[in-house]
Amino acid sequence: MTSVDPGPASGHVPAPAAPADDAPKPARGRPPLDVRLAEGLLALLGRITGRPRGLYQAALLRIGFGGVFLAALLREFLNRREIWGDRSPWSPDMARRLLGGIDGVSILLVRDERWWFELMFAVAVLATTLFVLGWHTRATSVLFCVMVVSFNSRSLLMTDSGDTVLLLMSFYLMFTACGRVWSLDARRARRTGQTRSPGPGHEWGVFVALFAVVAAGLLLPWWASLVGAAIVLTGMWRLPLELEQLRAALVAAMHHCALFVIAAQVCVIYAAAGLFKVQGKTWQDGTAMHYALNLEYFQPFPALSGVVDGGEVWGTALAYVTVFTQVGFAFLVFAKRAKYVVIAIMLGMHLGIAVLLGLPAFSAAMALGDLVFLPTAFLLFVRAQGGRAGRWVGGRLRARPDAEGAPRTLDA
Amino acid sequence: MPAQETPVAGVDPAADPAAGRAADKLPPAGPAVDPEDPDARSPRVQLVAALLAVLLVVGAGFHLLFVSLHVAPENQASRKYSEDIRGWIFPLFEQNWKLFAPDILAVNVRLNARVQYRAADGTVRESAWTDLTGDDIAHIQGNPFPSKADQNLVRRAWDFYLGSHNADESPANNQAELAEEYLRRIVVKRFQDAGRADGIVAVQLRAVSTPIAAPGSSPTQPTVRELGWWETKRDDFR
Repeated sequence: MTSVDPGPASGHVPAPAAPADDAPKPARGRPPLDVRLAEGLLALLGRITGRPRGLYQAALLRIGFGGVFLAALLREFLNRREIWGDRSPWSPDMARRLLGGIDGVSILLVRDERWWFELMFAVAVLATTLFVLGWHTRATSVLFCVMVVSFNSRSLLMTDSGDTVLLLMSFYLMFTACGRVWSLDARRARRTGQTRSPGPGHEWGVFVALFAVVAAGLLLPWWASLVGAAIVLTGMWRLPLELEQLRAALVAAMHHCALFVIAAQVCVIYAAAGLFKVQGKTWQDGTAMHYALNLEYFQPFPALSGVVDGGEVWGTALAYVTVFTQVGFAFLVFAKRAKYVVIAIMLGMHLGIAVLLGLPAFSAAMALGDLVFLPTAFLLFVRAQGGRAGRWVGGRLRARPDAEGAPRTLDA
Repeated sequence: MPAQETPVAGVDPAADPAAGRAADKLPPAGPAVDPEDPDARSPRVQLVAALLAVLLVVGAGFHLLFVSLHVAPENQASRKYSEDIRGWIFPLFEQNWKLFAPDILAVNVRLNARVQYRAADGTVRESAWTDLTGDDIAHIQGNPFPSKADQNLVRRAWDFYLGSHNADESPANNQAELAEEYLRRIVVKRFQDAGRADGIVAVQLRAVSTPIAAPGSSPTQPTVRELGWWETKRDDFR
């Protein structure tokens, strides 16, 4: 919604300004305001329930956040038992005591034995990989969210802001149609010509969804998994046309609302981060960057940090640009041209945070939040360029023409 | 669900002229109507769809309202509805965006630990201080993708302790015991990893805080906060 160009209205509401020559010309002015408001509202509701927009933005988020979580799991493979597993100083019992106060849940706390943890780790890696690839995406998105929530809750004191962003987005993504493009689902639909409507031929998808319901059922009250299973099982049969249309409308409305919430959530993050900084003395007098660059825990390359921490004017400029862009993000990102400037500054900032403060996962998560605001045409352009570059590199490496020609820069 | 025998999934042209017209144009074998096509929907479907959309939009609006109140500084609105906000936000949507704000804590804290252990001759001895934070930093430096185990374990455990204790080390809330247990087990684990597991009977922590010097000024002396000895429990060793 927010991130997509409005496009043509879906058209079941008469356009208010009809061509004058084929009207009988009763010399009437525009319809009264309340009629126009009602028509506008109906048109908006029609758009919300109509064809899903922002599919490429949703797919980008799926690949991006799935990739961030997968990278975190693989990066910590050797430390996995220390961080989330049986060797953690934060024992399962302590985790339960902390989560009890906030109704937190984790699939990792279902059993305390090591084999359960290793099994769940493997399931998490597999489910996240399939989610990134877009394989039965709605079902794998539920598994993805269950795993992100579980790994977060198991060791709440191991998380940082990047994990918070990932957790929020993994939840919102369940409600988006993030598997329609750039996915194995899309490839299967192209090859078999099968529709998305439930019915015969979707048995495999129903099976995966049931698996996801069982996983979610370990965290939720028992009746929730029964409801979930009932909904999933209806996917075995074709729905009557009107119900099928309602299903499609609901899917679209959820998708649009979720994308809007994602966009708004990004704005909330920046507005809060910016407005809290405005109150700070160090951000006002421009020394904040100096302190940030001298924190031992966030200094993977002290020499580089020393270079960037160079001078009063530079430091003040960095601090002020940071605060101004964060506070202004929510306003500027809806401006047609200014948003490119803001997004570019944000991406630069997060690149700096990734390298200088040693927080690549956090930076990647935040950068993905910025990228939702890019228009579809821009994403497709970058994708095409990436595909061309990928083919060129591939051709050079293999020194023969790429027979398949499948660009895979963003897919995999 | 009533199963459909007709090849055109449940389309009844008599009941829905618009859908019937759309179906006429397509080959009978394929899907008759694209369910996503808003123009092919009957007024009845459009009405129910619009109602669903209103519900979802209102729901999304409430969610964003709660998130905003949760993120904002405490105010009269969030005080009035604090119970409702808490109920909605926890555990999934908890968030805090005071990133290096309002002010960066301009101090480097190094957590040191030492243990009392039973030596081979049966006497209890005291180890030298070990720099837990120093080990973390040694792992972080030069690493473009540092591990959570180095970045967050000791750092956040100490924050957790500070948040649950007063300045005189007395408990400030009901998480104090949890924080102490966590720190104690971290120390035991670090000594175990270093091959010093045998017979640790007690551990002690101290935090050495070195303020970061303001630009152009000379560094100030570190301050030391030393905690008491904590006896280890059987469950601390794993």
